[in-house]
Amino acid sequence: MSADPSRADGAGAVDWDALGIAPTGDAAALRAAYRARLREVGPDRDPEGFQRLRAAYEAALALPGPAAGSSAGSLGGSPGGSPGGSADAGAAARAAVAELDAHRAAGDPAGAIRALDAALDAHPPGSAAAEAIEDLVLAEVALTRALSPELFRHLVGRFDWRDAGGRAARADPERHAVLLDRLAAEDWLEALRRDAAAPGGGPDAPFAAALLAPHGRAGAMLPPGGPNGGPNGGLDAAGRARLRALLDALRGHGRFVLHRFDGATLALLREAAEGPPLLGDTRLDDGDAGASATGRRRWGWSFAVTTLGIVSAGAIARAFLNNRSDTAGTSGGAPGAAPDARTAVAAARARADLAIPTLSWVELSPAPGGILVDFAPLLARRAAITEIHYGTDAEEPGSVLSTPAEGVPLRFVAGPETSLVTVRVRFRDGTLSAVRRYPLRGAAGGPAGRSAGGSAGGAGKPPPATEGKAR
Amino acid sequence: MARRPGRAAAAPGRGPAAGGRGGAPAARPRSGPGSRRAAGRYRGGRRDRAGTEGHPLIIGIDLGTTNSLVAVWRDGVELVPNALGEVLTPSVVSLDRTGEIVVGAAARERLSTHPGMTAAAFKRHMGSARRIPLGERSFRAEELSSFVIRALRSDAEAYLGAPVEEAVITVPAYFSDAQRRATRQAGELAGLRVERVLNEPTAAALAYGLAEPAGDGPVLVFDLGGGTFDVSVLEMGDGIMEVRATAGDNFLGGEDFDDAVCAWFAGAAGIPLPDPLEPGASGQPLAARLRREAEAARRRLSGAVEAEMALPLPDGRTARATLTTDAFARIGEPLLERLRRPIARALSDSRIRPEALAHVVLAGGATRMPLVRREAARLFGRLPLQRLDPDEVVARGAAVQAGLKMRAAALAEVVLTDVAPYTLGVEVSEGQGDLPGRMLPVIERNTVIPASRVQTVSPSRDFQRAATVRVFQGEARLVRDNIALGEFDLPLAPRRREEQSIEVRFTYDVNGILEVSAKAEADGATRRIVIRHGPDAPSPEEAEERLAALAAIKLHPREAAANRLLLARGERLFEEALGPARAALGEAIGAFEAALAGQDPGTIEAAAARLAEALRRAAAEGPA
Repeated sequence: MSADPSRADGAGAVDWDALGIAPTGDAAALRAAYRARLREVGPDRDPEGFQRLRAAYEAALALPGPAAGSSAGSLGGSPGGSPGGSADAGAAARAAVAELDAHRAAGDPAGAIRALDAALDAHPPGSAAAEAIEDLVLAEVALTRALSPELFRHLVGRFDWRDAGGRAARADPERHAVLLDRLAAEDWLEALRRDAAAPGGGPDAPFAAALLAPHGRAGAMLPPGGPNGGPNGGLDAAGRARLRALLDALRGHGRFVLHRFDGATLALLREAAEGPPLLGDTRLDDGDAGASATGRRRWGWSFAVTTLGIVSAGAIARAFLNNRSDTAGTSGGAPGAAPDARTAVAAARARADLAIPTLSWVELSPAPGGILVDFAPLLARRAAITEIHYGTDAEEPGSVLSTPAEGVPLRFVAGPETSLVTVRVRFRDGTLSAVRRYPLRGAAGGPAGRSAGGSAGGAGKPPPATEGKAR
Repeated sequence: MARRPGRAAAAPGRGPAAGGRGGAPAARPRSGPGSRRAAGRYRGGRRDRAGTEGHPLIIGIDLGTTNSLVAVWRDGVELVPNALGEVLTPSVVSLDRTGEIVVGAAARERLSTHPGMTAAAFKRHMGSARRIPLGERSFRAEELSSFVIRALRSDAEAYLGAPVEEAVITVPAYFSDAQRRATRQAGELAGLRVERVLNEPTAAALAYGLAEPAGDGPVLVFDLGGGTFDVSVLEMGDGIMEVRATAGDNFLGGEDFDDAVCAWFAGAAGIPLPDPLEPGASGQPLAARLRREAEAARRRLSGAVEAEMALPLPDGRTARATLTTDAFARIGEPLLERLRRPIARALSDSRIRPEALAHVVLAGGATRMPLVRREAARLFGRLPLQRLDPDEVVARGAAVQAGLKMRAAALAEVVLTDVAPYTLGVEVSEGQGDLPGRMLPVIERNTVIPASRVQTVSPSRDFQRAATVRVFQGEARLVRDNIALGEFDLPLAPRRREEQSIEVRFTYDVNGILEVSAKAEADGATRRIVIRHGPDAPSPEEAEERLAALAAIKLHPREAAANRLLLARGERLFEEALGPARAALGEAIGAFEAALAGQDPGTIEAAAARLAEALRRAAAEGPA
């Protein structure tokens, strides 16, 4: 809450004349002055004057001072009810949330819903007790991994959490943002299910169905042509584009819903959409094995790498979400189990490294069949990144992989006709880096330089917005 | 929830209303001078028929989903009676076989007999481009509303004995920008200037604030009308009323309880839920008939423990079920649950605890339901105030606002500030490309209005030739979950994006209507574009045409209102009646129509009395 940004010249620019009072930090005095002036410059009588008065009043309240910072003049309203009230509210909330959580952990979403509703209905809406319950649920239950979609949606509905400007968003913006991401993922998944089940079936229906298919059944769901064979080599361009779009969308929501998909299905569909992956075997320097690596063997390797990528994505997601010992998730790799402080420092250092223009993100070396492109420099700084995007002979890196687990290499051999490799990473905070270009012509060592194309730093917001309103 | 309009006994026998123009009203008005008056504190100043300080009088109109009212401020609030002597005029419009428009109680009767020519509850379509059919013609919701306003205007002019040119019209606080514009349009189509559009819960607070000057402290207004639910939290004291927060549900009202009862009845009586388009017993659509039954039963439950419902079916049987208060409580539960969220939001946004409220005020006809009153009492742990008639309180507030606009001396101490009900913003994107648009708020909800705010944004790519500014209202994070209000393109001089800044200014006036302007520095010059109209609004040429077309449609004359109601009720009961009562009714109707054609006042009066008697008998022997 602050003055009109277009008028904000910094603290001290309060129009005290408009308020008709000497500069003061006393909220009660400010309020009385405002109300006295209101009679002369009410909004119906003098809209311009009123806006000036209001701007002055809000600016004055926002000034640091003894009583400032209280909500813009609430006359009769006092936060919280009786003095001992908030302690009671806290204890009752704890008990209610504990009961809710017990049902949740026992896999009884209906019981959890009943418990929550009973606890909330016992209090007036907007009361301290109801808010205490909401805060606890947000902090301790809402982002748990083992939370059924049904219970999750009920919580969102009950607490009105879709509201980007509501209480939860104000009280805990970071958590709320993650919550909204989770909600978006759930909404997307539900839309996917609807698409797959729709009787007439839209153009996406078979792909949605394939994506949701249980282990081993995906291939049968794809439109004729088959994933690997067929006279035309598989899906047509449009089909591939659709499938790729779905997979991209899944990737976007990956940390919340990826574990509900079958790994083999995903690998199969990825290959159907993008063609055989370029990732190679570590034993490629063996001429025979490399040059004659059959499609099948490569597929097998890429399957393993992809699966590991998926599993580590899940591990990374768990680092974000609360980890519970009673969850049903599988435990994959180690990343994400590190204590927060160490991870944060390592991540920051890694990120700083990646920003150095002269530090190349790939290592290039000659290899049988072309040039070996190794992403080792990126992997060494895996603490800072969640995804690696790369592409060959394209300005936009089209292939996306989650950062593989420790010890898993990421490299491929670029054939002689390939002249450019582009790379981009997604940082832990969700932003995308700039695209780095590495021309391969005659490369026997470092990169030929980096390009400045693409968005700088992947700023999440419309850049240089002068934000007078801090949310 | 509608109070049954018109008492059959009172209306006939008077013939044409003796009020006419320039004289005192024939019947004693239910409210107004001589009935409840504003509290002593705000009296003063001499009574001035033509308005204060020579101002022509501004009327206040409550344009409700189910009922509408009109009121004025003349040294106090006065509610204006219609031609039938009632202050409530049903918000129903019907097209007569002569091509004239009927508004009010008579139209409501025609909802049963001529459903294809009659429209009700069109407030729910305000702000949309939807056309509602009346016979062979079709009308937009604001056009139908304008007929209602025309009728109210002539009632007011008859009551005051002077022309009326300006009105204050109320809207649900949660009405969107487009809905507010449509409401203003409706007034303009009726030939009135509408300089002020007022939020209904604020109006209710105004009415209470004047009636109960003592009692400072936060007040929560709980306004459940026929079609909408609004909650507003205000600070009131010393004549100063400040809205702190407002929230609501535009699709929750008394009509929804009726729908629920209809659905329950179908289940309980073992019949399929009647389709509004299917023919029913005696040619009446079954659905309309069921709705009347449901509404009547709901009202009976206000005073009784159970209400029997009966519905004659096409095959000759009669479906029956008995609605008990318990069953009704069960039916209403999901609807009552929906009340919680807006209340929680309004309290949370205003940072006021429910315990800290000084009063809870009920407004809107649906708060007559004991079920709703109990729920309100339960939610707040206290008995809510309902000292003013909940059907009338919004119109009273509109009259006070009209008085404020006229600078009535008695209201010099009163100041009212209101807030924006929704967050308003523009679409921005993250990074590049197809990432779904994010909402960047420019005016946050519950900002005190009028307000003007600026946000600076940049184009998403370098060297763009134009930037599209898309305006949205709503609270969701992504624009696709919010409501689009409009968009425009701002031409740019191609530059790198870091060097290009676009200033977007939102101005939200006191009526809650938005203007957006954007300017970009381009080689020293600025360009500015303003959105004034919503996406569904007609173009100025279209608006001119519609105005002309509407003005050509005639409303039935006021003077004939009582007779018209008599006939319409007669027609309805005739369709519903059976046996000898029906025959007698038919005869009486025929005689009355003949008398009207003859135009002899004496004959008309006598025939009207006979018809009224026949109606009473038919209603008493009705198919219950």
